[in-house]
Order: sequence, then C-alpha cells, then structure tokens
Amino acid sequence: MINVKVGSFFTLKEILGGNNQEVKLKTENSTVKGLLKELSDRHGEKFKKQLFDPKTGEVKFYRIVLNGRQCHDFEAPLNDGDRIDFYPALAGG
Amino acid sequence: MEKLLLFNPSKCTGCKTCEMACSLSQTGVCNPASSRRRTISFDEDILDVPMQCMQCGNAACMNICPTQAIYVDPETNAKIKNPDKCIGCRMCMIACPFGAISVDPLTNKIVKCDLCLGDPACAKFCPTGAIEYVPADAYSLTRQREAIKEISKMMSTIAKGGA
Amino acid sequence: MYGNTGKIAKIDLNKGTFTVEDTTPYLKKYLGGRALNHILLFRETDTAKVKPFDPENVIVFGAGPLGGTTWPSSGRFQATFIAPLPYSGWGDSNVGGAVGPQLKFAGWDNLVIKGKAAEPTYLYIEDDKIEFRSAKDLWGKGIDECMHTLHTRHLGSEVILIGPAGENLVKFAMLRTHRTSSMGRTGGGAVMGSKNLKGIVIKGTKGVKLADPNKFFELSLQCQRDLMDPNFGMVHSLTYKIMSKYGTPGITRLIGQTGMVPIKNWNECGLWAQDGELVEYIGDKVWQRNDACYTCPVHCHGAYRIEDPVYGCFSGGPEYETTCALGHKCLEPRSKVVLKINALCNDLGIDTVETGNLFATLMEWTEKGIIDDKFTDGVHMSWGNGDGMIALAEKIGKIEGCGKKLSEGPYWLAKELGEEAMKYVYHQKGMCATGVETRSTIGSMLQFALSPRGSHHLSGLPTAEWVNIPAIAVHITGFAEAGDIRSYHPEGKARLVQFYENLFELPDSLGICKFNFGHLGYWHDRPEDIEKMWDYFTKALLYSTGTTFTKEELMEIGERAYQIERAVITMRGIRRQDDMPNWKCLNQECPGEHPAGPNPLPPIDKEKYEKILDKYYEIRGWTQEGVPTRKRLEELGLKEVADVMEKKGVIPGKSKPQK
Repeated sequence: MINVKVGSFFTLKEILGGNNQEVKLKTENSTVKGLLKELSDRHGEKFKKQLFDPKTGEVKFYRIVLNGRQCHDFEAPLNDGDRIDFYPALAGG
Repeated sequence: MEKLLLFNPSKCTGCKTCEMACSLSQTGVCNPASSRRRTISFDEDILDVPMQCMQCGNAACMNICPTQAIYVDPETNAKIKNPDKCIGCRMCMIACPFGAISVDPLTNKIVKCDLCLGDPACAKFCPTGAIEYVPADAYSLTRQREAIKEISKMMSTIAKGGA
Repeated sequence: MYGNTGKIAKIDLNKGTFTVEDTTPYLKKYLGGRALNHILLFRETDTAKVKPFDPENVIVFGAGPLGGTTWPSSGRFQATFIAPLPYSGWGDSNVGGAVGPQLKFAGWDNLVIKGKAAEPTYLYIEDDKIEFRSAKDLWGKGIDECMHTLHTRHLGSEVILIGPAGENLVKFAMLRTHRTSSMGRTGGGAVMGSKNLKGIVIKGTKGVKLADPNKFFELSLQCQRDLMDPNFGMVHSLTYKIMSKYGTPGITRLIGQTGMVPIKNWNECGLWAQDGELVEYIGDKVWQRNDACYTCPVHCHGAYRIEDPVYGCFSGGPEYETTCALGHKCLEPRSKVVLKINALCNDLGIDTVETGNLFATLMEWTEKGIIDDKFTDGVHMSWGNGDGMIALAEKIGKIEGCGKKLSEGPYWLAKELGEEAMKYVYHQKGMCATGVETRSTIGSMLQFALSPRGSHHLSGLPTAEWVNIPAIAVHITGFAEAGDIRSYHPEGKARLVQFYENLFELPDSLGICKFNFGHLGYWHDRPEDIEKMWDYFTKALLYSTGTTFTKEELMEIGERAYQIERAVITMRGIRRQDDMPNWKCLNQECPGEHPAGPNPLPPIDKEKYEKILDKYYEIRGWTQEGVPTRKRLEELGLKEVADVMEKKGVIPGKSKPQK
C-alpha cells in the first residue's frame, strides 16, 4: 500500500471532498492510471464526467501534475508520499 | 399561501436586469424609464436597492384615487390600475411612500407594478436571487435561518468571552 | 429600426453642432458597435495621415444591436480612434458598466466626435438633444469627484470621463464609465483631452425596440440560465464559478500553471509564491460585494474601501491585468499597495496595464544601469518598490517633474534612450503586453504580435490552444496541432488565430461581453456546444433586429472588420517586421515555476514562427509584407478601402499615389 496526496480546485475539489485528499493505493495499482480508477470507483459518475471524454475515454481539460511537473505517462509508477494535482486548463482576461 | 415579491439589497449587484425584464415584459421595449421598478444605486455606500411597489395591504394609492381606478386582483393580491377609470391625476404618485408609481415616457400614462399577473418577470430574471417571488412563509423561514447563522456567530463570540 | 436604434450622431466640437445619420444601411454588413465604428472612422478622417491630437482625429463610440436589452451582459461599449500610444496608431478600447445601454436608450447607436472645443466641454446627451456644456468646473479634477458631481447634477445618467491624465495628454490615459469600468488601452483619454472634451453624460428614456419581444424575452432568459448552469460544460462552469466570486484575479494560478503569468518584467513566469496573498485576499477579504455590468449574471467586478493611514482608498476592481501588471511584473506582493495604485490610476485616469509595464521596465532599466534615480526624480525604482510606484503614478497623472517624460510610456521612452533600453520593453507595435507570457503559447504569440492596437489578447486570444481539448482545435481548424500550446504547425496556428480574430470582432459589434460570448461557445468542451453558440446568436439577432444572419455571414463581418484595421495600420506604415515578436520573445528564455510546459520557456523559434506568419498572410489574402490586397478587400465589399490604399500608394494600381 502507498499513500499519495491529491490536490484539486473548485468543482473537482468539491467532488473529491476537499483539497489535499489522502488516497491509499494497492501496490499493484500504484500508477496514475490506478489512481484515476480508484477515484472513479470512489466518486462515480460525477468524477468520471469531469475528467474523461465520453467518446474517447481520455482525460480532457485537466492537466495531471505529479510532484509539480505535468505527467503524460499514466503507467509510470507512483511512490509513497507523491503528490498529484489536477489543474483545470483555463482562459482569462 | 399568498406569494410576495420581495427584495434583498445585500444580494443585489446593481446589474439592472430587473428593469430590462420588467419593461420588456410589460411594454415590448427594453427601457428603464418604462420599467415599473427601479434599482437605485448609492455609489459611496456600495449599495443598490431594488425598489418596487410593495403591494401594500392598506394601499395609499388605492385610498387616494378619486375614481377608484386601483383595485385588488383576487388571484395575486396585486394592486392594479384600471386604465378605463384612470384620469391621470397622479395623486397616487404623490401618495405612495415608496415612489413606486411612475409615468411611462413612451405612453405618458401612469404605470404601476401588477406582478405580471402572477408571473413576475423581474424575479424570473434576477441572477442573484435579490428579487424573489415566494410564498410568504417560505420567505420568513429563510430569513430566520439566515438570521440564526448570524446570531450564532455572535453567541459563540460572547461565550468565548470576546466581543 | 429594431435592435439598433437607427441613429448615428456626428458631432462637431468646433461648431458645437451635430448631424444625424441613419444606421439602417449598415446592419447587414457591419452589425453595429465596433465593426460599424471601423468604417465610420475610416470615412470620417484621413486614417493614413491624421495625428492622434489633431482636431481632425475622430473618436467613434458604438454600442451594438444587443446592447441595452435583457440579453445577459449587454453593457459593452466600444471606442475607436487614431491613438497616441501604439506606433501603429490604431486606437481601440472597450468597456462594460452601463454607458452603452444608456446611449441606446437615448436613441443613438454610435457617436462620431470630431474637432476640438474652444474650452473645456462636456457633451450632455438626453434623448434627441445633444448639448455642449462647460466643463470649466470639472477640468483638472479626478474622475471620482467628477463622476459624483455629474451623477448628482444629472440624476439617472451614465457618464464617460477623463481624468487629469487625459487632460494632460498622457499617452496611456484612459476613459472611465463606472466605479472600475475603464476604456483602458491605447490612450483614448488623451485623444478626448486633446479635444478639450472632459466627458460625455448620457440619459435616455426612449428604450430599445425589438422585432419579436416575446421570443427575445424567452431566449435571453434561457441564455442567462445556461450561463449560470453548473452542468453547462466544464470550462464554462468553472470560469463562471471563479469569476463570479473572485473576478478575473481568481484565474491567476490556473493560467500560471503553463507559465502564462509574467513575472519580473517578463524575465520569469508561472506561479508566484505571493499569488495567494494577491488573489485570494482580494476576493475573500477585501471586496464588499460583487459588482455587475449591465444585465450581467457573472458580476466579475468588486468594490473595496481600505482604511489605512498610508494606503487608504475607495475604488473598484482590480482586474487580473492590474494585479499582474502592478504585482507580478513589478514584484510588489502587498495587496493593499496594489489596490492603492489601482485606485490612483482609476482616479487620475491612466491605464493600469501600461502603468505597470512602465514601472516594471523602469525597474529593469535601473537594475541594468540604463537609468539612474535622477531619471525618476530621486525615486529609486528597485524591484517591488510599491511606494515608489505610488509616488510616480501621481506625477504621471499630473505630468509633474519626471511625470512629463514618463507619460510617454515605456516604448516612446526607449526610443529616446536607445536600442539597449528597447530590449527590455515587452511591447508589440509600441504598446506593452497584457498578462500573457507569449513565449508560453505559440498561437498567442502570433495573435499578440499581429494585434493592430499593439500587444493585447483581445484581438483574438486563441483559447482553444489552452483548454487542452483537441476536439475543439480540430473542429475550428482541422488540425489537432492547433490545440497544442507548443506547436508551430503553420496552417493549424494560422487558421486558429484567424478564427479567433474574426470571432472577437463580434461581441464588440453586438454590444455584449466576451465572457458571455465565451461561456456560451468557444470556451466549451465539445464542438457541438460551440455550434450551440451560433444558434443562440443567430436567433438573438433575428428576434432583436428582425434580420437573418447566418454563422458564415457573422464570421465574414468579423473578417471585414479586422481587414479594415489592417488596412489602416498598413497605410500608417505597419509591415511584416512589425508582426515579429519583441526582443525578449526572440532572444531570451524565460524560467519559472509551473507544472505544465517546458521550463525555462525557450525563446520563440524565429524560422518556425515566420512559416506560420507566411501561411497566415496567405489565408488573410495579404502580400508577404502583410499588406491587404485589393482582391481580398473587394471580396469583402471593401472597395472604398482598397481605393484609398491605392491613392496612398500602399497597394499597386493605376492611380498616381498621393502623399
């Protein structure tokens, strides 16, 4: 088992129950992909609708940031104490 | 239970959508000067107050009208102007303590709020809920709950011995 | 006429008279508002030659057919003129508040103001009458005081005002219409000041007639509900959530994640340790309430009153652009200092963006030894010297001491100081950039560099590049690469920027806010939602004006309006080299703390950039020097523009060029 911390803003934060959520992952699921599955199982449709494109199943709109750097490889292993942030892509003025 | 059109200045952002909705619904023209309600801005106090006809129980406008041109709508309890009886003397404008009766410059006639006959456009359009058309008891209960939140903040400060 | 009022006022300040022109013939080709401003400016003065402070310069104001209706966020108002700040001369600023609607209620669509009044004057417009009143008692006074005086003197009116900065011809002087709503950029305030025009007061009781009031009522109610619906798309609902509580400063950290927030005069970028203090402090702790522009459910403004012996102030705002310009770019982290400077700029009437860029440039020039403290009357412009910024802001507004030369703005100052100084001015076409580090996103770099009025995002910020949803980029351009912020794909980026430039002409020509426009359509997650936006707007126009417009016709109006801008600036000398990124963008990498995007951001790849530029010129129908061709102009029904360009010798033809 490993412990990771999950950070989020606004809408996703409400779905996940707050910023800085502690999530336990089984060793065989300790990848970003595994984390996404764990969060999907835990929070259901609301989470899936926010994060995944309904047609392709890919993550859209959010950038997944692992220990401060954007993560593109969801199969890469996570370590105990890692921090994953979901950053919504946005525009401004 | 009777529904009341009520407003809450603390929720008002001064957007004036109410004036647009009212005038468009009542006259077909978007014109604040034709609106039956006006939101008054107090710049230095950072305050906007959505003033309107209060549909008074003992309405001064009804009482003062020399031709009994203002009557009570049994459905909504609104005080409505009968255009056939109105002689345009404007005593109602003088009598109203809220300044809620005005002259529409496009028609030159006296106008007052008739609650859109039970479906007020302003309440539909108000984006912040500063204007609401709600059953009387629901409104009071909501305000009481809001007041309790404020009171309990005060009580816990007192209990802690602070001020 | 429906939607539009049908009347344009042509005001002669020399004679104190005005004439009326009919708006009707312009509707199908220009809509109103901004696009109509463009052709009116073009016709009313010699846009190729006239200087910004000449009496022959014209300032055109316009609302738009949806302005002053139940349509959400229907309060926008556009000013178009020949400008003192950018060397392109293109003057362009837009504002919220309630002035545009009031002009419509008075029965006017556009105002064309020419000449120069003999004495300080303000225009008083009440329905059909336009009066020229003495502004002698207002001249020299701050906007706050004048706004109060005029609101009291003319109950129920809306006003446009300049401050001492505009009177003093500060090149980045602005016009203000509300607590915080300002026409900030390009120096419109100075153009008004040069005409001895202190302000315009408008009161209207005639209203806006609509072709189908009932259908418009229902559609605008539905539009408002969709705007506020948390399930109406993610991009939209998130933006609404943030803006409605924290205003534009609320998005700071979210755009910082890709390195898009500039820090320390564009030498660094991304997330700043002080972000929380600047951003959350304001929305959570300082604003007394959220302020809204006309009919807007987003209410992204706020009002504040600060009690403090040194920094006490009462004003509205700030925008992200202000916190970024005065905070991030200058390294001043103290919110109350930034709020104080914002209040000063609001009262004196100066553009916070150029002011912040000026201060940041002065700080870098000081660091590099290009200027010394004598240059700034003894105020040592070290990084983060907010108290120095306060002192200088006062001097600039009143052109006292060093304020006179600082009122030129960083670009014109650098022209005097030399090439080394110019390297540190983060400008395009002479105006400094708004809060987008253009080395972080390639499409934005192109759009900022092309922007006719100088470095600014509102000529067409290509947001599909930011939102990380490839389907949107493909829908708009046909290329997924268009949606990759690091890609230099020539056709993808060229088409992306052209699309947004054409699109952005439209909200300004309708009289509505771009946030509303964006929330409904192009900031969406799914292409079908973008198409929904077109459905909304074509119906809105049908029910308001009674005229049918297709999506293609609307985009063509956008293209037409943009081509007029390009025609004017090329007649004024703009060519390909003016569409190239500035020195820092081409030569300096930009390090920073940000999770997404490369770190440091590399400089713009000149060769790859030029390939995008080549393609862009091609699809715009311009020469490889960036000059519109007669063929393209005539295709858009702009033969009159081509004829003038030919007379000026800017496009080839049979006539002998006039000079």
